[in-house]
Amino acid sequence: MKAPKDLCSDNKTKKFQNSQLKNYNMKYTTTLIVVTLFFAVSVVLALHIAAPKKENHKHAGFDRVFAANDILRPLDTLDLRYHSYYIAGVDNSHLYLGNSQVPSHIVEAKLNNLKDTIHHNISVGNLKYRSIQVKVVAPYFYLTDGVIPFIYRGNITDWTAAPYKNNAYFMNAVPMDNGMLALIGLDNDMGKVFFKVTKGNPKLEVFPGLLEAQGGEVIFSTEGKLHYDKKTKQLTYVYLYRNQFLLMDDGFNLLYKGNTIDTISRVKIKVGEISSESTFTMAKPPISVNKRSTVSGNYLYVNSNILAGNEDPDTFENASIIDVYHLEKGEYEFSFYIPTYKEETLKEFMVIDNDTVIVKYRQYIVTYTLNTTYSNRSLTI
Amino acid sequence: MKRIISTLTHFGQRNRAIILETICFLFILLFVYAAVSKLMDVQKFTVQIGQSPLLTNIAWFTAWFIPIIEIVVALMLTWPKMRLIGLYGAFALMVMFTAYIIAILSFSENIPCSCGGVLEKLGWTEHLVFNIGFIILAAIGILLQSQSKDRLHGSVEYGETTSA
Repeated sequence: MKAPKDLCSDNKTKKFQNSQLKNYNMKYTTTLIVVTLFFAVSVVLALHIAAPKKENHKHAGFDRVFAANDILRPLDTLDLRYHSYYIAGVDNSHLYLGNSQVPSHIVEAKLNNLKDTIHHNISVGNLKYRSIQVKVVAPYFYLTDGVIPFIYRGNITDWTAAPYKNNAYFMNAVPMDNGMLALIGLDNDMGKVFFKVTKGNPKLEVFPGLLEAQGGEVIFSTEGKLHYDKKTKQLTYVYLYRNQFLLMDDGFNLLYKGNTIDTISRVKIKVGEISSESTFTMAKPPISVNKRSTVSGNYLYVNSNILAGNEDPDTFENASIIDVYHLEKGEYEFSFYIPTYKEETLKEFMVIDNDTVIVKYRQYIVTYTLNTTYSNRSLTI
Repeated sequence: MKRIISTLTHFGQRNRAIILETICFLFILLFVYAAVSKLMDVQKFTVQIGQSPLLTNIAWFTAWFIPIIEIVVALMLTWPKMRLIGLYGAFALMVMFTAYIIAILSFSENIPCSCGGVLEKLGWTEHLVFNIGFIILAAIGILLQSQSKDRLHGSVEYGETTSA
């Protein structure tokens, strides 16, 4: 690249060559930068292409019975403007929303007119919390925190909470009737168990042996959701990582173990240990089966994460499939989709009286009527 | 606008050495810090990487490969002869990290982070801005470094003109 001195004795030529050389170099460098950029992007792209296909599409060895499309009709919508709200409870005519950012804040919305809202503030004094949740079971509301731990209770007429129970640590608390609560926690042998809190009894009743660990791991493999239904006075526990649910009466007597329609009977999770923090966490993306669920009377509604054999993958990905089970018969009935709303997918849902579905999307609440006469087999309530 | 650019270019020309040194220093700091905080707890990093749907099958390999590459690039940046290659390496790494963030944000359900140390505390948007900032720095570094390279070669010829 060095220009011999005698060739560019003229100052102008030198300058010309200089700028030309510079231009050439700039071009070369820019090209090299762009090439590097494309190379780096294609490495990530290759990783993305080589990445395992959606795990929840690989277990489609079962079929769903789809209800007619118009089984759901939108009824009403509410824009909460923040996505930190969660469904705290419902009674006959109201929906109660808690807020994970401001735990003392409650929004009450009328079910027949969602935009008719009242804001409440829970007065509880100075309360330290770590993982607080508000649960409304009219006429009471509960403040539960399994990490501190505490359970407070108050009346929804004045929204003032007072200490109710201070017991062992727990992972989740589900209010039942007559001031009873069902807790999920660990017993002294580090097994996952149910506890029952009764108003008069200062001691917890323990119910071991109901939740079954798989793969020699207790905490994650037994993960799931507990529901209590006032009408039937029954508890339903739906496992998150396997196709199983338990039906129990309010004394935690097992009525039967049921199966959801998919084929995943063994949990597909891999737990890794981080010794430096003495914590355990997922070492692989886990495959959840029964992502969300709710119970209304004799029916169990499961938002499944597993694609069926006779199902269109795009529809499955863009909407939320709900499988309906009859709890008394222990049978699968049919399935329907809850659509997206403003491009958001379902985050929480509840079914009331088997005819109204309340869905929480990111920051929206949408209610739908569930017209079961449109299904292949109509619900008999 | 033209004036601003020419002023900036002029500023860049005059302070080329200082700007280059600063950019290289920042990258060395970033990479050594990131690599050390990963290697200090490889087990944790491996578990975190395994949660990523893109990397779950090559978690063990990635957990060692990324911090080692980061250190190699940092070393290259300290050595003037290898500095240009080091800058290209830094540029490629930052583009990869950014592309990875975009891929994982748009295509994946669970989005784990395992950037090590305080960088873990960044939100995804801050992370993107941070990364893009460093990509731009690396590009500036490459341009300045390759210019100073021709200057080095041409210094004998052009020396006259400047002295005249």
